[in-house]
Amino acid sequence: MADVSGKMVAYTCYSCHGEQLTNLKSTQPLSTISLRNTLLAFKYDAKSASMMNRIAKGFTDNELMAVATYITGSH
Amino acid sequence: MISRRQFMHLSSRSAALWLTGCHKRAFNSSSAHVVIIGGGFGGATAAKMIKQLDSSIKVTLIEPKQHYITCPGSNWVLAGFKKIESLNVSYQQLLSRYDVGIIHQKVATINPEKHYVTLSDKQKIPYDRLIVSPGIDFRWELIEGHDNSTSHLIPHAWKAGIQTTLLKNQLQAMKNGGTVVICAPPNPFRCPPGPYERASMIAYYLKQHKPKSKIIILDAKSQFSKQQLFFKSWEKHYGFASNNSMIEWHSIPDNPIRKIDIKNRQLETDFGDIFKADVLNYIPTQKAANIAHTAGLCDESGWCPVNHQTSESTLHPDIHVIGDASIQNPIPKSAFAANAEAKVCAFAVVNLLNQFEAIEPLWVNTCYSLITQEQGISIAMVYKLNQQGKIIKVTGAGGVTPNIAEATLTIEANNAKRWLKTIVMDSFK
Repeated sequence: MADVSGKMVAYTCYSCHGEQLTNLKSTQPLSTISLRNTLLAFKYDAKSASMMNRIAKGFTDNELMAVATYITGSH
Repeated sequence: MISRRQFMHLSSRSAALWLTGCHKRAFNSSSAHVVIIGGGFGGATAAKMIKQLDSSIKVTLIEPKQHYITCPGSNWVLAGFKKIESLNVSYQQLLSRYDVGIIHQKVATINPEKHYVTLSDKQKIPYDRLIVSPGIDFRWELIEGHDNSTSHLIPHAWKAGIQTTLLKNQLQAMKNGGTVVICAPPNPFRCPPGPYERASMIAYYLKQHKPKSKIIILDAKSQFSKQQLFFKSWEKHYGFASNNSMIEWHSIPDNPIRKIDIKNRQLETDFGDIFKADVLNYIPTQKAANIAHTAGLCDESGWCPVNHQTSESTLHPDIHVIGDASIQNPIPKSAFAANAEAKVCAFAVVNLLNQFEAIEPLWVNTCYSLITQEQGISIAMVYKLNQQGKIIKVTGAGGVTPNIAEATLTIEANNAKRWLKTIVMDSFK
């Protein structure tokens, strides 16, 4: 399977995190690397949440980097 | 002054718009018209997202209702802690924020060859691409003695609104010690955990107000979504599997319900077993909504086959089908899935109209169910397309609530309520 683009992944994030992510830039500036690291931490269970561990495991590391780039770059 | 970095950032965000101006395409930007039938989670999301991706495309949403009433959250109304009015969603923001044209009418017919839709007032609406997101209808022919004309007496409450209120009123009028029978339909159907969340929410109400009452679930299936989590939670809260259980689950896949006696609120199965109810909630077997059938978009299963990369119908070109009506398994028929399918569809439609390359699709489904007002459970999955063009679950992803500790289920319940707000916002606002 080919990697999914950061934009396609980001739109799936918006279903639950639309408002937070839209306001990201104004409320809490977030670096691409720190967002990617958080997503990787969910994927590899270094950080736990009720839902995000289950979701993050659906993506390749490259896809998590791509979505972090898209989200932090586009807001 | 714009720095180089800001310029790069700007230009990547506006790529679609820049290309619109520079590139010749099959339909030039001012003429492409996408018509969407159905203003549920699927149709509304598709309308909003096409305009977000390419605002030059004209989008028209056709939906008879003046406002939408979400099915998610409608079981909570039965429990008594959610008002039905709070499930109302306006279409106003699709118009004011995204410039989506909205026509509040019913579609009478679709002409796939000539590319137009005829409304109930005979008006013809031409389209370049049509997105059909009509939801479900019921297969009344499978049951004797009951159909749509008697659904005010035996409410299905599987489309939220007046049906939800009818069921709620019957529960409130029922005596303490009464029996509620919920008939859960065979697969596939809208909202796989729905009948069991409903049982939980009715039990929550009965436990407080009519504690001698019982709920019997007659299930056409031998297993169901989040089954173990429901069973364990019912044991904890409603005495499930004890002598004094408020909820009983009877699986009768080989002994389907054949007949309903409306007057006596009585069911008869294939083998002649009789069940008597004080409140009867028969959830009928389902199929794609009737418009999908009359338009020739369904196969023998009663649902609409689609190409999974584009959600374009395999039966009629230039028509896409999304949401509950479409065959996208293993993705379940849920509001969240309809939202995810609409996004994949919106990317596909915009790319096809602009002759851009197709993108690799992706779907996420998350679904919460409440057990009590303060305890909840969830299921989630991430889906991708395999080399053969089939949708598959991503190995290792998804799954249900990891444990049933009270603290975990409290977080899940809070997230369930937040989930409803955010999915409505993402789809309609």
